[in-house]
Amino acid sequence: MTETDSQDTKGIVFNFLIELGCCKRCALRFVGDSNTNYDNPTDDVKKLTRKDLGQNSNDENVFKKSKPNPCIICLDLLQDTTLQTMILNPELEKVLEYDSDTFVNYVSLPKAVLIREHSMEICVKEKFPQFFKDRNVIALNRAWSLSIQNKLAQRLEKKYDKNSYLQIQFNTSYVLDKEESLVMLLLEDKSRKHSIQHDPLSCKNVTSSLQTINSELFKQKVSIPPATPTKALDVEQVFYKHDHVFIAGRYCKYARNMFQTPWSGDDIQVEISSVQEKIFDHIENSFSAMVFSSSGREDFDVRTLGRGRPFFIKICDPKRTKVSFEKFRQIEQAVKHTKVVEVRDLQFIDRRYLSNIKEGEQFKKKTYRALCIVDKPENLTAYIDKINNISAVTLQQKTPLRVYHRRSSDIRERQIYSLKAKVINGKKNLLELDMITQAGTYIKEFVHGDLGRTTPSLCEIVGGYIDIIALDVLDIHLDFPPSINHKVKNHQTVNY
Amino acid sequence: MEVEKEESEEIPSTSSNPVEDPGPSQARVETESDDEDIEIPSILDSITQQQIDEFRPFHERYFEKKYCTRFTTDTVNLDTCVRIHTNKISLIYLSEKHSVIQNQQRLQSIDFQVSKKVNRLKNAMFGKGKRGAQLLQPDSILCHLETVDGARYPVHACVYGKLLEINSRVIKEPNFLLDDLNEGFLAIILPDLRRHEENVKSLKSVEEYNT
Repeated sequence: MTETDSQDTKGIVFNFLIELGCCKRCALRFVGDSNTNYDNPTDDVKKLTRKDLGQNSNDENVFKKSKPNPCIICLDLLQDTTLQTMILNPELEKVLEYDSDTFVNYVSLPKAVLIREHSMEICVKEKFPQFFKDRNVIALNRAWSLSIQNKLAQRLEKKYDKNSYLQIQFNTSYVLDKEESLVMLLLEDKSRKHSIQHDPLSCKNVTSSLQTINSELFKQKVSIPPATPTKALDVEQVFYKHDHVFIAGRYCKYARNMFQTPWSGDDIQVEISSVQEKIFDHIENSFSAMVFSSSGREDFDVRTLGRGRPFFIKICDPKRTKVSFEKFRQIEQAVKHTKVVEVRDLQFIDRRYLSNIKEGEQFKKKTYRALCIVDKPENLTAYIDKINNISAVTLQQKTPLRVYHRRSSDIRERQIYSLKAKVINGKKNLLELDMITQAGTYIKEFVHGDLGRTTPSLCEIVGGYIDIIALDVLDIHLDFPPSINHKVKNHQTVNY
Repeated sequence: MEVEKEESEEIPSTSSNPVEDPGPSQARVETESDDEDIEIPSILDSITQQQIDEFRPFHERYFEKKYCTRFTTDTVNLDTCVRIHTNKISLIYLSEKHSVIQNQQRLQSIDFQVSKKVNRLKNAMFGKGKRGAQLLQPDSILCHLETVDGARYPVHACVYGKLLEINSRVIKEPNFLLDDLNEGFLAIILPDLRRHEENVKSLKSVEEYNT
């Protein structure tokens, strides 16, 4: 086939479609190539109508055919007027509030349109089998996206990127959608009946049905080519959102009277703030919903020191996604000023690394320091020796009394990997105890025994009375998130 | 400052003083990534001498001590001591004035089969809500104490609630119940929250009990 031949055939097919009642863009979808300009198809249309119509080669003829009925396939989705309506939607103003440089756009199609498309495909493949032997028809939503992208980009002052996190969803409806798609129920393949749950007329199910449906069966029930519609589709609301972004870090808590997350439950007004609030206060995006998550948590009266506890914050639909290395460091400084909380290693993190923080909880180790009191000073050295003679302990811990009201009854086996006790200068009845334990170990209960419900307890080990006055978490043995080297700027895990 | 909360981890037993400025570090800790030496503030400096002096043992720290005298008669003292945790969980002990202690009797055994169908040791429950746990009313019997010299004393639940546990140390050695009035509790009860106030009102405070 020579080029002119194929150009001729293209023209024939194109005009065939126009005469049937397709809009110019739909007709282009069937004959166009990768160079087709869906945004402004005037030139492409001219090329295709010139040869065929001979003297009447002007747009007038082309446009005469596309009135007054809507396009028999897309119901005018791809017409300039519809595209204009979509672009001029005032809701899109709000999309400018997002600092994302890119966007991606989607459209929902009425099921009737999918059925009409399928019908037209059968029609043209029968009429022009050679032409369509190896030819792919451009999908409706792809053509729509190509038609509207550039104008959208102008309106939103952003660039189109198919991988963008900022998603704009346009919706359409069609008054006769239900009627026209009822036919799908009649065409249901019996073997598929079981796999179609709930709504057999959902877009998803209709699409998959059309992929496998027997053409002969289809032709019996649906008109080929599609019947001329009297109504066009309607443009409905536009929805937009930015995918969740995640900020990870580690926090230290220096107060002995602070919750990790805001207190909820009782009606009592709680004035004590929480670690979460102290951090959230300094993160922009305070209007987006933020969710705090961490690798375990410490008690109200326990400090977290050292590197701190790994945590991450999920920011839903964020308007601000550009946070520089310096800005993160500024946030860290601002939190440090509160004196009670400190954060480090703040960074954006991709969601696929988040499983680190919660996975394998049982296998993580933690380092603690406890300040313990003994009954009699004369026993102090003996107790310390007994503790230091132990290398490791396996505990059986019944659900501690202090959490028994909200936890199920259980016996948990936990490991203490190392114990080291030492005197404190100037204090005759106090000792300092460093321990490395398995995650989930109740430290306080290990020391005082919880009335015999944790065994062996430190009291049993020393053979006397020992109790815990204060507890600090010194390290959570988890290398997440990656530590930030302050000397290396522009260290960013993810750029949104 | 005592903060009343349902979800209490622990109540700070004294006035809470947030750390002003971390004092001189007592030791540096080996952390896994040792690119910078992170200072660890001293644990001793994070609490006050007052907190140390006022420190009370576990069984006093989180529990309010009360007594139940309603089952005592002219002939026998069946007083029990009920220690109520800040999270409202109640522990039942024998009172120091209980007849078996006053008479210096020793226990041979404890009978937990309190009726044909109910054995307090066969208490199966499921989940956070402890579904299936044996339901208790104040006059429900937890067990019968059987002394060496043939006496038999019932011990009552004293509160409305669910039975969570019988002290395994007491099952093993019944006289632990008499010998250690701090660690030797008999039973752990999850009170019926709707009737908690009623429960508490029916019990005597330490002052009332000792006057």
